[in-house]
Amino acid sequence: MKEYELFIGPQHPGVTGNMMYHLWVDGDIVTKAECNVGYLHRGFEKLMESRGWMQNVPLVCRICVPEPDVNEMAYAMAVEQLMDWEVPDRASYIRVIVLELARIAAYLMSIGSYAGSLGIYTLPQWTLGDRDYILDIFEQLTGARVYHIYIWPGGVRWDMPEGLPDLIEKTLSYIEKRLKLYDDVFFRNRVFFDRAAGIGKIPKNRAIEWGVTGPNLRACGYGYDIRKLEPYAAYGDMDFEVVKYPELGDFEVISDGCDAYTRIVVRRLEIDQSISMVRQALKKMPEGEHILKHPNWLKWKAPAGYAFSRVESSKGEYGYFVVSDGSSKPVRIHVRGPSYTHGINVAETILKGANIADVSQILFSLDVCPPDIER
Amino acid sequence: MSILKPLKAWKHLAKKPHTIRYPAQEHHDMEGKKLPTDKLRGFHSNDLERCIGCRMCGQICMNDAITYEEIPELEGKKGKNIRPVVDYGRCCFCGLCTDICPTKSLHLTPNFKLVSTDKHDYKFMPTQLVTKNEDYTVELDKVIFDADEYKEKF
Repeated sequence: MKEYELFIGPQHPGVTGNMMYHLWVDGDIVTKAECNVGYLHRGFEKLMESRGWMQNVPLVCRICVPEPDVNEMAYAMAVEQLMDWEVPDRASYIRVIVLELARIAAYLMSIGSYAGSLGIYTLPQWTLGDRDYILDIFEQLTGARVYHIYIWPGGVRWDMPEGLPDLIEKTLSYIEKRLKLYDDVFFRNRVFFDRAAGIGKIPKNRAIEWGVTGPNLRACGYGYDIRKLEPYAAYGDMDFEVVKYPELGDFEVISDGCDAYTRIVVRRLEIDQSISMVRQALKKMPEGEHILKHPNWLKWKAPAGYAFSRVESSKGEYGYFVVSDGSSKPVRIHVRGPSYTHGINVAETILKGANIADVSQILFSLDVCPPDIER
Repeated sequence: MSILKPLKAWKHLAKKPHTIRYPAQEHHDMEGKKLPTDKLRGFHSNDLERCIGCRMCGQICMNDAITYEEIPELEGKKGKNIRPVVDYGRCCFCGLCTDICPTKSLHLTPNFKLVSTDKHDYKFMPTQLVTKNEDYTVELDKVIFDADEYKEKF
């Protein structure tokens, strides 16, 4: 059969946002895939060079829409390194709570959209509805639902309001109850087993070479998690095990790992882990200051030097490289986003040989975030 | 796996939906508290008497959303007679302007409803008029989002 071309995106339910995959297809088998971005470029890295140290905080969170807090965290950590600041203990614990709640929200979104790509449309409705309860918590804690602008260099913007821990606990119990329902509808569903197992395999021996990180790497069997390897915030005090293939808990191991099935099940298990971490942080949170005193924002000068910070997001590893020449603006900020590797190199390679019907589930299982690719 | 398992889904028929009829229905959190709370970052409110026109808010604003207008009636009082005008087409509601405000006259309020077909309506001087009220609507001459009108439809 003659080869023909197929465009998936930029406005397509099978692509997570404003990006396009250009496919060359033989019958219904993909022979070549090319990622085509450029619909969302906002020039953040360049823009940050012309803004003060504090003015960049509302900007960085826009780099990843579903989970903005990791960017604030990585930027704050880099600035703290430059300033040689020690963050108050209470702030570290509040940061863990915010980051883990954001992780749960991001995983709910990615699991829901993945289920949608398999045609199970009940789950996206449920997960997005439940994610909204987490946004309600954010609204009361940070003052905004999506872009929180809450984790600042030196601590967190506001202290935890009274009564909010009760709301968080209530919401977490609700989500735990709902997760059981998700398991029945989706994670123990025949459709999921049959369609996802063995699809979109990342070769295990190539995963590290290709720069795969986060849940996608853990699904290949590597226990690589920055929260464990290089604990930041209060993760050093948290008790948790890194979820990785083949230790999938109650879920069946039906493939050799590295595939869409394992990637999604790893995400499902990490929701449980995040819930437990939020509870631990709420329990262990000490009293005290929540932020250090800032210099005058308009005259803030960071000492000359460079800093690199990295954090674990729901998509993979985020890294911020910040260079300062001692002036009131950064000289260069480089962002290392996980979706750049997952969405371009990895997706283009593993889409070869896939069925057209499986393209969108492979892309969703990689959990690609287009705003992070383009920045 | 039980053959009766799919029947579990029927119990959801009796459940209430997640969605609310916005704006006719109020939004509540899990504990029944009305949202938005006072913490939400919406339109500004500025106490023109307390504001000293120091231009700090305009300097920290990275979106250049804040410009200044002279108010002749304030001539002779403490500080300058200029007051901030916010362009809500540019504002990102980060609230850095309120945190840097030395007199704390500038605030963010939970007001967020503003509907207009004219883009010029989105640029105005925040005063204390634009403050919290029952429906969280912005009290402006031209633009008022009428929640009652919508409530009747539902």
